[in-house]
Amino acid sequence: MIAETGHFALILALVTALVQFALPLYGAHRGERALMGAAAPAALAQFSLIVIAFLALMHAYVTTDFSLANVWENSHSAKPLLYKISGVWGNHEGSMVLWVLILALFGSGVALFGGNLPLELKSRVLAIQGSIGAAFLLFIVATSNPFLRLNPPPIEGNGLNPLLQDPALAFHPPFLYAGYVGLSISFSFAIAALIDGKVDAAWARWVRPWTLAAWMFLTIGIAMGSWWAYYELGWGGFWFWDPVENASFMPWLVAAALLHSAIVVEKRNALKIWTILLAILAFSLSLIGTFLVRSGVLTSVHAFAVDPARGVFILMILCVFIGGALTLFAWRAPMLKAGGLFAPMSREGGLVVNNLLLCTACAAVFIGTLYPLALETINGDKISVGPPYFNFTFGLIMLPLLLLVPAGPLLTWKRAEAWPVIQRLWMAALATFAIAMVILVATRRGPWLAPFGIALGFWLVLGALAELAERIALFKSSFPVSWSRLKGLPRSSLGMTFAHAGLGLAVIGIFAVTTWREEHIVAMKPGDHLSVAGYDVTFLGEAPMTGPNYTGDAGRFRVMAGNREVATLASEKRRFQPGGQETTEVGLLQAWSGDLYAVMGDRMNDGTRAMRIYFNPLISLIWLGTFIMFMGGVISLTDRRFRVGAPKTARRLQPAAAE
Amino acid sequence: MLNFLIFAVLAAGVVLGVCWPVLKGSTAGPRRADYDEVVFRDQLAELERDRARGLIAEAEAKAARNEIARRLIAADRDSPAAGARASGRWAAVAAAAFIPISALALYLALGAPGQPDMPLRERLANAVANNDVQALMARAEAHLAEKPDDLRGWEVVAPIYRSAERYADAARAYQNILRLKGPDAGTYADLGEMLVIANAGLVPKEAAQAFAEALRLDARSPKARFYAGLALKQDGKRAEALTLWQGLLADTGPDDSWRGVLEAQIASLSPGAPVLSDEQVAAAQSMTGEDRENMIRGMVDGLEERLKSAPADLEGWQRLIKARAVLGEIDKARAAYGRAREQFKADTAAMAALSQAAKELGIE
Repeated sequence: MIAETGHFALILALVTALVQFALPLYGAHRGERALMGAAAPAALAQFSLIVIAFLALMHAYVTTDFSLANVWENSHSAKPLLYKISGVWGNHEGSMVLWVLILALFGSGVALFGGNLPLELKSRVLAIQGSIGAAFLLFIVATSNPFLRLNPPPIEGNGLNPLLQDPALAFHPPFLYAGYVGLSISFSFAIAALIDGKVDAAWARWVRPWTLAAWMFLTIGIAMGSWWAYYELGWGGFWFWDPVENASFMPWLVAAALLHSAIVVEKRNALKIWTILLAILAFSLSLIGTFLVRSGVLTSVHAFAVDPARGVFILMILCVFIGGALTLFAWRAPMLKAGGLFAPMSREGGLVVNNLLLCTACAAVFIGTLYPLALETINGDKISVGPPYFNFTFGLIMLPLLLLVPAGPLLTWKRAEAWPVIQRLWMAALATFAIAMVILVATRRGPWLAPFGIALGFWLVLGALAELAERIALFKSSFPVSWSRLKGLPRSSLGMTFAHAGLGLAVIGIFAVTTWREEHIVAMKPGDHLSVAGYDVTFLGEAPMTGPNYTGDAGRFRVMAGNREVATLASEKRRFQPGGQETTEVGLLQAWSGDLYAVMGDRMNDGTRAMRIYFNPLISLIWLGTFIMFMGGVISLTDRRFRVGAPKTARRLQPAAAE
Repeated sequence: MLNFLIFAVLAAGVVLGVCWPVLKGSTAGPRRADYDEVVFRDQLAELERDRARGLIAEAEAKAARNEIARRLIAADRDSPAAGARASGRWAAVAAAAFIPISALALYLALGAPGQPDMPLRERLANAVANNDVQALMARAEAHLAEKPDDLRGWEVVAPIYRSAERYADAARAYQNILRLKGPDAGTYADLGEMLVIANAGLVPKEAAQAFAEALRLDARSPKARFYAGLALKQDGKRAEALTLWQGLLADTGPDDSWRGVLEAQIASLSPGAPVLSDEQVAAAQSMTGEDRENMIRGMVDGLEERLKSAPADLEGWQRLIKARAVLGEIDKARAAYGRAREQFKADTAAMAALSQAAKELGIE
């Protein structure tokens, strides 16, 4: 009964989304307030219905109800509870339900907190949001329905892909989806402005926080995916320029650009048309990402949907929304009024440079990801565009951007001078130079890239701190004065410092790992030892083991530093029931200086095991950096300028209207 | 029923929530310019803060202030009066009808109304009451995995496996029964039979051994004799198989369940039986129409000959009557029908089947 209620709620949500699209759009077109009033309740109803459907599906997973074909295909009675829950979105159908759930959540956010939006704008935004929801709900109901039943039901299920049975991966999709879907709000705002032919002042105030939220979630979602690939796949790396990774990285880059251009719209009313285009592009890339990973075009753990009907359906959604949006843009954008003026050398100008570089970098990734696919479709040639291409092109474009980041926040609005900026950054520049020299001298024979790359990271961190010190007049006035200035600083400014410094930390980590990493692939038998980055690693032997739904072998390693035992690491090879799929558990010793990473490989003919042992220096800085970037977003979101009130007349009139 | 009550409540909630505000209809509210004004005033205040913090120079701040002021005035001027028409009621009424009707129609097309939830734990607990064979099997399997020496358990699951068409599992169950109970002709024969069916009807070596074992323990075991004959037949020893089976037929009472199968097998080995080998089929395909008809006539004649010597074959008679009718030899079909009626006049069921077939063929 719960399952059937969920099914009905899902279908009702589809119908409600259609109404949410049609009534308010028609109302806004005719200028009828009453019809526009349907938008907010429809958005809330749609969200509530999807919540019901999602909880019903989760109930079926938790109680292991194999009368749902979806549960039978993707769950197993012996699975731990956490993975029964995360199994809801660990498959195609359920993950699409999560997708529309988050979409509807964001839509109801606009409905609830959009009191300071003109009704026309709010209605159109919700109508566009409704149309996206309707398209994906139709996709689910027609091609990927998780509520189809089996009668009689089987007694045992097929189980969740063991690779996905992992805590980081349990939460990676919700965050990533929150990011993808958050960009739908910016998209809806852009389309609403285009339909309207007018960019309301409130428009600019709304686009940025939503973009910021989406960007934050994308950041943490990508970091979780990367972290999972790092310790679960056992390849020892954290980023492979895999098309699936790129699919999430491209929206992140454009969202980062949008985030910055939205500041200009918000504060200076300039760059409006460009921002609208970016908003369309950011969400389009999210859709393309969804298509790439879900259509089976790419083979990966994400490619749940190999059914061609689904691929074609998503492709149609893609064409309608992206094509429609760009057509609308070409038609309506010239009608929009340009905003505030600024000189090329100004904060606005700096943000334009940021945008151009981020978009170019995204284009480089886009070409590297899609060119092989396009070529294969056209003439069947299979080519592989690998990390060297990406590292070179992407790195080359990002280099000037990263060099300029510390200067940007020191530029003044409208018109700026170069000299004051140089004056305020020379200390940071000097310190950066010193760090590069120290590294160069200390490592001497090491890869030449290391000192420069790491110094670049330090430049970002020190530049961000220098800007902060300048704002609070640190060392120029007494400490209490600085402290009170720090407290008085706008949250968005503080958030920016965090985000830029976090980026710097991540850059340090990325360069340290890629240039200094140690890698050993050796055959070991119990008792053998190996010295890695100052650790002495001894293979103690292996023992069979049994988990809740797997059996396997656990290899144990003793790690000594000097004469002291630091840790005992265990690397496991697991064979999951049912199916007998094998996974590897990495033995990981984390420290600030770097991670010792041990993987037990296959048994060799002579009784030894092939071991892969890595040392990844400073890799924690990558995760720490991304987390600090995320926190920067959180701090920025609490800024007071996002709390613009509704017009006073509205407050006066609303009680009257309700009577 | 409760399900549809819940659906009705959900749909009613949506209709009320979405359409009621439209029908009640608020028509007055702040103008768009009022919203713009709030933001512009906030921007002015923010500009002042930025100026105080040195983020914008004095002269630029002034210019920016003028820009914002100009926008404020422009917004006030451009703003159209908020619409107050209320002719959208029909749209709300249409939506109020559209929501429940289309949702229900879609649900009825896709859903399984009335199918209850079937959580695994509950299924296992109430397997007996629900007559849930899968759950019963799962319980029994779990039990046997824990106590593999429970003879009674294996005896229960073996026939269930068999009816669930899990023949390899059934064979495993019989092996366990043999292990726990000791040698027994019936069990050996069952084991062999499961191995044969699991092997697509061909008798594998293990099965032949099982039948041999069964016959050693009980030389009269009908099942073992039958399958031993099948093994001989599949080895090409047709005469020996026929002898074995004819002996079995002599021991078979008229009501034994295997009698029909046995007779069919004997018929298939009898001289003149229309056995179509692969070569014959291939030959038939390469023949001209006339040759093919001659070959078919030859086969039908063979069938008639056989029915003279072994007339207790209802299916054979039916085939013969039908074949004659299809070939256009209506007189011969009628004649065969008459002889068949003679043969089965004591068997009402057979008579009914024959007369039914005759009616369909239009010879009665």
